[in-house]
Amino acid sequence: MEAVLNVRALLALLAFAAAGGAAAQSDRHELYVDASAVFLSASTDLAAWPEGGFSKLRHTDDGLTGLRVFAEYHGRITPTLRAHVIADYVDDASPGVDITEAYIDWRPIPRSHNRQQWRFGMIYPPLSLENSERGWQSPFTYSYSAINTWLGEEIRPVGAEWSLRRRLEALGNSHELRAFAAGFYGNDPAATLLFYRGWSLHDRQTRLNDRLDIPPIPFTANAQRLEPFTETDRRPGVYGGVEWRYARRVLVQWARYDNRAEPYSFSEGQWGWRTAFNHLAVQVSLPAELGLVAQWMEGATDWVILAQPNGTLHPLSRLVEDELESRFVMLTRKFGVAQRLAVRYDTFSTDRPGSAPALHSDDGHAWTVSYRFEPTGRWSGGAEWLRIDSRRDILPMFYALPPAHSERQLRLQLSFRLGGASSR
Amino acid sequence: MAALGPTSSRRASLWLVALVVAGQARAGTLEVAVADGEGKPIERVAVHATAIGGSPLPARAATATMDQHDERFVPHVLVVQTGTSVLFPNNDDVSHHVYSFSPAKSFELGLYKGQVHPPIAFDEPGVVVLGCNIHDGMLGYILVVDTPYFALTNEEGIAVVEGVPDGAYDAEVWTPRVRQSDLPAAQRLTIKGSVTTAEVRITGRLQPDHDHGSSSLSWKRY
Repeated sequence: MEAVLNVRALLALLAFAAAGGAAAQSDRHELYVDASAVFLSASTDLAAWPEGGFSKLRHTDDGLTGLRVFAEYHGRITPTLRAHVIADYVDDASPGVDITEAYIDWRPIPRSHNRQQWRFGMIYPPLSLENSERGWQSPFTYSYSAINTWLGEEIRPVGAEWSLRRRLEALGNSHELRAFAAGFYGNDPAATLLFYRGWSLHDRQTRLNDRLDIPPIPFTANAQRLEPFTETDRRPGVYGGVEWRYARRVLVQWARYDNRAEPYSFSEGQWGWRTAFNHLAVQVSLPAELGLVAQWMEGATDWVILAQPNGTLHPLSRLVEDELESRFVMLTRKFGVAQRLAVRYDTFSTDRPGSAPALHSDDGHAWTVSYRFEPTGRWSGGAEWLRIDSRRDILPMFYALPPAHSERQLRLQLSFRLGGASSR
Repeated sequence: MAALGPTSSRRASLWLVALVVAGQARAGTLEVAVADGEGKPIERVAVHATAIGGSPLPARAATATMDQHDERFVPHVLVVQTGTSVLFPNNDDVSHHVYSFSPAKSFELGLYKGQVHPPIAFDEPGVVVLGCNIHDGMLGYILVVDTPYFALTNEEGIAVVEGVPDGAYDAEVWTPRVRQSDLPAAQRLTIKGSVTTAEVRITGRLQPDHDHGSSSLSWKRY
């Protein structure tokens, strides 16, 4: 089965590469393709989460896990209007080629220090300071932080985003302010996977049509398979934030997201989860060429326990509120132009205050150490060591597993890029 | 007459040579050291000297290049004489959309890669702030001056302007890193052959150099 999928990945790669080679030089069309071979060595007692397990790792098998391929397309419609489509191929959960982002970007030409931008479509809110590369990849580590992993898994609004940047004064003043706001549909079941499986650190982004397996928690599963971008109640969600930059030295961003889902709403096999969070992100240039990136998220979700996957409620169904919280701090440094080292520390938790047993509690922390080498613009490689220590009370309750787990993963990756530079 | 012709023509040539030599001897080098309030040298400060009196120099039909590389304008600060045409080649493999809304020159070069747009002529003196409509972090400056005598300071904070004809000049410095009202007033100098040196202190609060943040981080998003 895996061999068949790998052949499909290879064919997809070749098709993308041919198209990329043909289109990369064009002004009107830009296509970027990235293909990676990934080797993993994992140590865990739990089953991988894409298979419906509780592991915080994407893969629990050792060896070559196969090829990753993603493609990013930019098409010029007018000089200020561009279309963007980002698709990838994965061989786990819902395998195949699918879209991770698709949107129209409108940037009217500035006539003053104010710069406006509109994005329409399926987009990531501009929260992650890690995922700045093409395909929403991170230049720092292969596995994203817990926060950004979750954004990649369950947060993908479909809507309209407006943002305004203002350079306070171009001459003699390096301060820049930005505000953004968006209204969106979809994304109503957001946080379902987070509370069933717990936090996670990996690089799998959920795609438009993905259906994800949820760990089989007895009596509580309210979806057979999760489709996190479903609209259940036709109530639009919102997000917005403000950002301050000082030269290329400091960036501070505060944002709030609220999907405004009605927790008793049900559509297409999915229940609404009212999920809202505050998010703070900081990036600082430190002396000695060190860079610091930190993000913090805290929020809550209101959802109905014992809601059935068929849309009915159990007599004991009731609304509960669970809290989520995670933060990470990362130090990174480049050595020469081709090498980069990054060290990250994550903490994360989900909790229902005052509730015992805490079926959905998850508490842990993770260390990630990553080395990247990019000798040419085409080839890059690297190694990453990841250790996640966590505790889930549900594991001894239903599965005769110890509550605490220490999962480790060593990852080696070789990547080949076609069609252009690495930034978005 | 016919016999004298070659001789007088030879004599004229000799005069011409003498004039050229004299002209070279009557030019000097201007060296301006630019430092901040604490005496630390400042790099990439524009220094330009304008002759006092006499007829203004004709605009020069020169060309200059403002490159785009690694999502930056290279050089970050370009100084040109009024009338210069500037090329904006994009040497990145992503498209750029260069624009300026500065009063000295308002223009835009629609999404492009490579060298597809004809050069832009900068006919008015002043500061032209450049941006890219795709990459918000890109920032560059073109300083258009009414003189061919200009240079940028090096790492030691020294700008060397060569071949300045003898005479009186107003020397000015310019950098985007301070409030424009904090730029020092023009300094009157007399060039008289060899090397004339001057020192300028910029005492206003100096902002960080735009492109000199940590390269370990990505400052370009969305």
